[in-house]
Amino acid sequence: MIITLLFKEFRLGFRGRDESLSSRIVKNVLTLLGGILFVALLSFLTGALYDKLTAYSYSAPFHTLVFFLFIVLAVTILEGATRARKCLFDKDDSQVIAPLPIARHQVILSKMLYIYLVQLVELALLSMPLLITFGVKVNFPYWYHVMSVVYCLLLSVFSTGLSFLLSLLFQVFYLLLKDRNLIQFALASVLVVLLCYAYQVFLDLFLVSLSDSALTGTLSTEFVQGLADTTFFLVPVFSMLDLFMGHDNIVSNVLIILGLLVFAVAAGYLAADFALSKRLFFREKEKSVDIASFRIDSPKKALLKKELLLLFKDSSNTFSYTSVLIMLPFLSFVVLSSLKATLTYNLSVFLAYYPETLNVVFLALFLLFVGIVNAGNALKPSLEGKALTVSKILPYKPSYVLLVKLLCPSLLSLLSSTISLLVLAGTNTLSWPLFGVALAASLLLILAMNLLSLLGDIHDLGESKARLSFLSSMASYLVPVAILAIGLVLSFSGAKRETIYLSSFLLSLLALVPLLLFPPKRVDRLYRRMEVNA
Amino acid sequence: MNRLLQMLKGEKTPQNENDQAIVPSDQVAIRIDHLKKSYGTFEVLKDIDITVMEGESFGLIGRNGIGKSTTIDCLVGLKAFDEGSISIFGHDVLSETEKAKSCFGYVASEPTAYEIMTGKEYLSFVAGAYGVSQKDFVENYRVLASRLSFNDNDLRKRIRDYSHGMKQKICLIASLIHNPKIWILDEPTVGLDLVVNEMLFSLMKDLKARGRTIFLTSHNIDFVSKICDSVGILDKGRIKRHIDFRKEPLERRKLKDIFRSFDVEEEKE
Repeated sequence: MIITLLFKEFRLGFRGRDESLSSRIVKNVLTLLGGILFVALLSFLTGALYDKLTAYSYSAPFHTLVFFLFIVLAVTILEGATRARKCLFDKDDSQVIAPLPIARHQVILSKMLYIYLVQLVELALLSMPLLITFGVKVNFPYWYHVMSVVYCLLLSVFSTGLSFLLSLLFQVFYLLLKDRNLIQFALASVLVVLLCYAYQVFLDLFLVSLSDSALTGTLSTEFVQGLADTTFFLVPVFSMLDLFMGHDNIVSNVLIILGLLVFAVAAGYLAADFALSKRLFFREKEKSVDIASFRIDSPKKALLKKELLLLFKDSSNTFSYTSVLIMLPFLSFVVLSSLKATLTYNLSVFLAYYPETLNVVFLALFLLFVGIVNAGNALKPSLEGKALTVSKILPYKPSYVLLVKLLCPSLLSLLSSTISLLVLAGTNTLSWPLFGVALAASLLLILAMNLLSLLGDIHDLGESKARLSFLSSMASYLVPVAILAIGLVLSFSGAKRETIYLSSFLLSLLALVPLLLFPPKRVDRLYRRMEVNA
Repeated sequence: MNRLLQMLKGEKTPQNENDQAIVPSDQVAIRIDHLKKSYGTFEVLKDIDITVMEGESFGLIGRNGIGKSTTIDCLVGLKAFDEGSISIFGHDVLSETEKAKSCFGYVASEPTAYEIMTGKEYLSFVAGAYGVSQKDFVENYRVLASRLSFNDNDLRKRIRDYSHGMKQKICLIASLIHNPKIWILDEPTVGLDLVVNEMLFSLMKDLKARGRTIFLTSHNIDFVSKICDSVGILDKGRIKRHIDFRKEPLERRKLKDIFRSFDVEEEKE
């Protein structure tokens, strides 16, 4: 029974949209390649940092390893807690399971086993490259590598227990914040800032490992020294590694590990039992409603308000839009300024001969970021699901419906691009003329992407033959690549700056070419042909 | 005072140019001519002709999967059709779409609303889309909410937290909030309990008595025979029989048998 329930958990946890076999294969292959690349990157980073840290102090690599593994464990627990909350408080799931003759302990064990297996994979993917690279560098015997597998197997038990315990806290937060849109928006902003900061630290570590200089930036000597004094408290990671590496305190380490594992499993089980028995759903307070206070807007304003409500009342949308506003300025600044420092230091002679190369690379990279960040934004009609019926029967002109759907995300992306470019130009990472070109090219790219996404979607909802949804993502990649390729050729051939900028602008107009497929009459016809299943 | 309010409160409405239809008028409310619709190679509607006069209540009946919902979907603009024409109060649904859509309120068989919105936000949006004034909104809402026993306090909740019955109620209210000339309902009784079913029946009867046009599909033959002035029996992509109960009153009682006879014919073939 537990195996059947376990399969059910996996199916619910990883259910995706209906996709064709080919797109699933491509997606899985790309995920696998991404995973391999990530593991390779982690191994490289660990190896490079090991060499630098050894030069500083003999024990510094060990303490740094403990610190990073602890962070990995903490992230895994947080991720596990969100996953555990979803599977414990899934109303549809509990409605199906409740009437079936299944004992509660079986349900709990299947959910814990599901979270355990997911955490095991995550921990193995994130921790083992660090542990194995470290072991290879130190020349540990083979049993150390076996123990690194044991590390993942045991710590996944610990993280599973804590995840279930934390899931109760997450549920309470969820219930408190459920209908408080402003607080949700503020929290999403904080989360995005934290993620951007984590990204900056990672990038900084990568650059430190690449550079020839000594320990700088995030991994300063003071920081490493501080780690040596504090890693002892980072249980159970410290205890586990201390045990594996044959240091002293074997008995105390074993006791600490066993104690923590027993505590985590017991606490996790009890938390799951509490969640499934009490169901932790708050009753909403009854408030009186004053019908006379309802404000009825004009038809156009009502539609605009509806789109904004759909955008900001959905927590995933809120997060996605906050990301757009905050991530692009942060991401572009961190990457481009770091890249500028590295390239101008290492390629100074080359850049003296071909000064525009850097600008071309920057422009292409910035447009690529704009494309990626904007991609999650488009307000496609299909996202409305069954509720599209409502839009379709209301007496709105198709042109107005589409205009509203185009303008909301485009204005947001444009605002984000403008802020990013102002930051880049203000910090002298980009020149002001390049600012102008990048802004115009971003505007064209955003409009083209969002319009193509919208039109491709209404085409695909109405026509069962050719699928055109991919046009938008093609534009987001092809335009930066074309600008990079042509720009580099012009730069190497000694073309003037103005020529390169003009050609880049003209190339960004290419993004609008697929729009020729959609003359206004066709758009009107496509909207009317767009089929909705009520 | 708002006409819907007067109607549903049972008050006599003044005779005016828009509201002379206590009995069906000569004006055509819905005209469907030679409607054809295919899904891939399957031709679900082969040649549908339906005319519904203003003030008439028309029921489209037929077995499962025969094309009743497809006909309604084509009528309200949810699905495109291959051939034929549809007009609502003389407005062609393809060329005068917005005018045609302004004339009706539509209720789908499954509740369809923006579930992420609260009831208040949803009703405000729909009322705004139809250009309803605030005064009319308040009056219409109050009457409809009281007729359907919809609790005002539930307007604060998100629709996704409503029960099925509550969702259907808010969709019914939204469909009538602009006081439409035609009420189009696709399987309106599906998933409703007895009490709500009776409320819906009573609401339809009142609207009908006050000259509103009703176009509905239903499996519930009793419901159709009680509420409709005429029915069309859809079979094999065509209206196989049109019965006007006002001309053939005895057929109302026989509707179940007539409906069954189509199944028997099908089996013989």
